[in-house]
Amino acid sequence: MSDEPITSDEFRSEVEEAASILRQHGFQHIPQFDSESPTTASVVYVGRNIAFTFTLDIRDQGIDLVVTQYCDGKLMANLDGGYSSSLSTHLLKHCGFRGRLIPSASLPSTASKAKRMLSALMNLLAQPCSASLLEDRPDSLSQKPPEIR
Amino acid sequence: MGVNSDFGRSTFAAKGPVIIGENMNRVNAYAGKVGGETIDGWLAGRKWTQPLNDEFVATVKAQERQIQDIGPDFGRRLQNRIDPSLGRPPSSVYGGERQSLLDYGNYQQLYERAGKYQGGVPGFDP
Repeated sequence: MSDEPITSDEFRSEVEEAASILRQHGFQHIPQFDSESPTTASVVYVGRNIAFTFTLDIRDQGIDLVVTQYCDGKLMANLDGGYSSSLSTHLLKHCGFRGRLIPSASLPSTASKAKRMLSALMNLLAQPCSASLLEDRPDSLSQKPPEIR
Repeated sequence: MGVNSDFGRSTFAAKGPVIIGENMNRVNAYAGKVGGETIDGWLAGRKWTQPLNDEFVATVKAQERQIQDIGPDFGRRLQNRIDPSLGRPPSSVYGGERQSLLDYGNYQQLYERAGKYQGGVPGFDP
């Protein structure tokens, strides 16, 4: 595994590859919402009601996936009266998901840090409790998903 | 480069409070909503490094700027506790900033802490 710092370019390239599950569900990358700064980078995919924002924190070398309400062509975060939360926090609060994920078996041991983090996030998105988010309904952010048996 | 550097200073010095916290995506989002500034404005396009981060803190202290702290990213810390492949450990960069500001008078804590993994800025953090 490479311990090289994750660069903004690497992050964007890896997100493009990792986000196929979002594209399969009709979400589209909207570059006008992307951002770049000396300490951050973000890539935004939007659907009809929900947006997923991949974020890179360059200082702490962390990648996260944030789920946000999307309305009338705007990202509506918490201070705008909308909703925004990291995917893991959202799933923890809405369906109590605390599962420890197993990294994708298809990843080679030499996979980069960015690839491994994004793989873990995409595994989280593939969990049954994420289904309502991918369905991209107006109530997807508030509705509790079906109980997992 | 010392704290008297003019790099980025003319535009940086004239605006609102300086926002700090853990997770720069979160810090920038909050600053954007309240008209605050972050290290990004001060860097003015320079690549972030730890020494520049230290210089940034020294500069805002020297300018006696108001510093508003939105605190830890509790969600990230909790996720790290549950599954380290998804979360991140507490930020050493943010921890260093807090340490540097222990004796600073113009510091305002905006976040609440309800436990090791619970808390945040009311109305902002989920």
